[in-house]
Amino acid sequence: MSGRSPTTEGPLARALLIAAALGFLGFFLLLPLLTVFSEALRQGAGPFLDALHTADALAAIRLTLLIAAISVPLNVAFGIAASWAITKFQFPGKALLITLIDLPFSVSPVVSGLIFVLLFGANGLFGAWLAEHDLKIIFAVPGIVLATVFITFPFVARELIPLMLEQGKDDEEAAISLGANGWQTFWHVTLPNTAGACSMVCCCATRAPWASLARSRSSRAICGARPTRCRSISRFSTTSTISSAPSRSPLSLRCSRW
Amino acid sequence: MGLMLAGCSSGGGKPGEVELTNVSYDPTRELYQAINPAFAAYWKQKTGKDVTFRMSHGGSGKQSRAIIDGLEADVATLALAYDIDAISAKGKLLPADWQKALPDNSAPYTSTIVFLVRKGNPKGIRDWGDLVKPGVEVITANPKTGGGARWNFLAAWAWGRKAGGSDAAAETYVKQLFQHVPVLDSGARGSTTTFVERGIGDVLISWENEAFLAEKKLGKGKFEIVMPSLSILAEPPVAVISANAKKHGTSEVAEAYLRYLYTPEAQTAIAHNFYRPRDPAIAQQFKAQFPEIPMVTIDKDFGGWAKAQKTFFDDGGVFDRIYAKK
Amino acid sequence: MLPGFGLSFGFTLAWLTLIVLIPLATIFLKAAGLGWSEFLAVGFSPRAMAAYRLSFGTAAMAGLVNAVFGLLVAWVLVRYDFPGKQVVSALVDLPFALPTAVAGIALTALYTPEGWIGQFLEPLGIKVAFTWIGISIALVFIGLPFVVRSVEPVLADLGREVEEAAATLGATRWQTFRHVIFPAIGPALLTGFALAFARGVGEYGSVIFISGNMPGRTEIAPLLIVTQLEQYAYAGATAIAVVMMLASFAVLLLINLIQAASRRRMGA
Repeated sequence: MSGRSPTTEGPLARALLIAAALGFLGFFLLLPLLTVFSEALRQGAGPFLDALHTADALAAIRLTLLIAAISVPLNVAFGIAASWAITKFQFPGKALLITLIDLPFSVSPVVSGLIFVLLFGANGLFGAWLAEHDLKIIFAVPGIVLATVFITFPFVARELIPLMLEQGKDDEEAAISLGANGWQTFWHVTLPNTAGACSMVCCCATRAPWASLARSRSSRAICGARPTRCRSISRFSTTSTISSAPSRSPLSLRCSRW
Repeated sequence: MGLMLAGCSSGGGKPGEVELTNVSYDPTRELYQAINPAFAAYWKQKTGKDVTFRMSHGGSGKQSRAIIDGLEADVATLALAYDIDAISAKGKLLPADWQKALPDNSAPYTSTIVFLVRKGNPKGIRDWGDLVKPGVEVITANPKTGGGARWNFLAAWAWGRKAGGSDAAAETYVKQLFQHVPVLDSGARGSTTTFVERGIGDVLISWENEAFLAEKKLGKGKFEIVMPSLSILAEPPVAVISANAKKHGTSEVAEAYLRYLYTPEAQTAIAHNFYRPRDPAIAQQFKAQFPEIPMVTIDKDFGGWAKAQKTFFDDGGVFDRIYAKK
Repeated sequence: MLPGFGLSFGFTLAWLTLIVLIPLATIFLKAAGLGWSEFLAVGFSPRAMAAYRLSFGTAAMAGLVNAVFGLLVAWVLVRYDFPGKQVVSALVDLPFALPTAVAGIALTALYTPEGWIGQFLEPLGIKVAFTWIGISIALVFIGLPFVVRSVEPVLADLGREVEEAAATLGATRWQTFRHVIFPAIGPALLTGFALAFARGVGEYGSVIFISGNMPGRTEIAPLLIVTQLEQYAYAGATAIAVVMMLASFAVLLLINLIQAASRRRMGA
């Protein structure tokens, strides 16, 4: 047992587990990704790189940053409040509350676009009022922000809850008993405890808007290679339902050319 | 998460510059890329004003819904009249008789439905009847979700009705046909990918313009086009969305833009992009590219889109019947 | 007693109502416009039922696969060192960043009879593309990050003291895992499963290419919603959406109740 720590596995078990994990990832993750790149680069890296430098691509990056800048803080604030309430206190209907937070994940992208159309579309609930005041929500930035916040709603809360649960509330109670007030406890105890996860979670929350950027990139890159692709690609997307829009905006970046 | 197409800041910069939003369907991308600069030059010369374009492409039905829901298109150039009818009926954004506003049913270019087969036509496919022979796999999209696939369905129906002499015969034929379909993509583009890229199926029922594209660009030398003995005249219509154009003050330029599509220059560009031109002189020039075949029309042979949609494609229609318990 | 319940709970509830409940209510409102008989006709047609079975079945299947392998991946990433670990860790997030349609096209290309993987499966008589297996694989792909990223922080945060104690008391490694580690990460794993499942139920873009969309057989529920929209039947679309949403809600609630119960039993 040459000094092996009692809290890890033997080298053989370790190697097997690593091999199994990598095998799974290779098969289900890496192979599809390789396919994507081999398709995208089939015509060489030139068109691929060109696609990233157009005005459309830059416009898309700016828009994505703007949306992330608005939606991420909103989601993080909500996530922290929700996980604090849920993990530090007992109240009836907790499972129900968590389920409601989960719900946006299960809503099909096909439907989440429709929701905002029903609310803010020309014939939607608030459509007439918006038109009267010349306000635009769908097919404009506010609609994209709303859709992003909706889709990424559960992210932060859902990743913080298991962590905070696992950590329990002893540290916080100790702080309080030592005379700290609620905010002090939060800033000096809870936040540092969850900081690692918090930053990871923020990354996660940022990912959603970035995903759309990455998306436009890769689809554009694929567009460069294969027209058939990009055409079909351009049809599928949540936000595109409510923000399918004329080019010169990021739309065209998907595939304004072959 | 989707791609985000921002509504972007509208109302271009300089005075004397107008911006025109053209909401179109998928395969017209290259067509309008060719036509827009030509029209801009023409308009500049005629009026001294600059015109810039914003294009949006997507599935025809989805684009129509986007306009109804508030995407402020000045003009719509879609795959079938049914989708513009919906903009008129549900969005009240243009008059119900919009199709009379421009010549030729407001369709400045046409296309038809043809077969794309693999090089050498190994299964010997010459006509619709060959599609239901044993061992033949047919690729077409789901007509409930794809505009192009509706043309395919109706063309098949027309042949079945002619060959069998009745609607019942047509339904039997079409039912048989769909038993040869291994994959129902949600749109025409998807089925082209399935056939061309995935190598699935022996024959793709396709828009003529898409078939040319596949034959000449996607897979040079790997495919052949087969013209069936009977097909359907597909008329992708164009219209000014008058309520939006009025609001933007673009009525005049929008109408001029669509009328420009009928000029010899535009008609030539149309033919170069594999659509059939309307102008007889230009059509004559491209006669070799577009062989004449007998074609039925949606209005004469199917009583118009509203009726065809209801009979064949709405819930409980013929298409659903075909797939109901075999 | 910790302070801040009123503030955090109130804010949570207000934001939830504004961003989730009110928008979702519009779906119910629109569907209510249909009237009962039509709602039943659209929402519970044989074709719709087949589609629900397919969507929920494949999502559950993919969620299970991801629960097992996601846990394995998280374990390996947290506990072991090996060359290229950072790269692997970054790779896990890629399904988030990839457009779903691109993922769908790539998976279809892999698994069709002429694809890299499909060509080996075809002679064995295994058909993946255009069957429910293909749909499940697509859902495994998009759901994996949820499980890994739910379990990872909890696993990383788990103190080694208990494990050491267990080992001192003579527990084998496997016993320690089963009785000490697994119960601690159980809630996180369930969360990951629930999220992957929920995401899979509604997934459209990546599935639509590999599913083949044959009515009654490989037609997923979101495709039926699109079909309704193509007929400009917004209300019909919401009817199917409502059924899906209620079913997902029921499943998620069940998972969350199990989670709460197991936590209580452990006396957390």
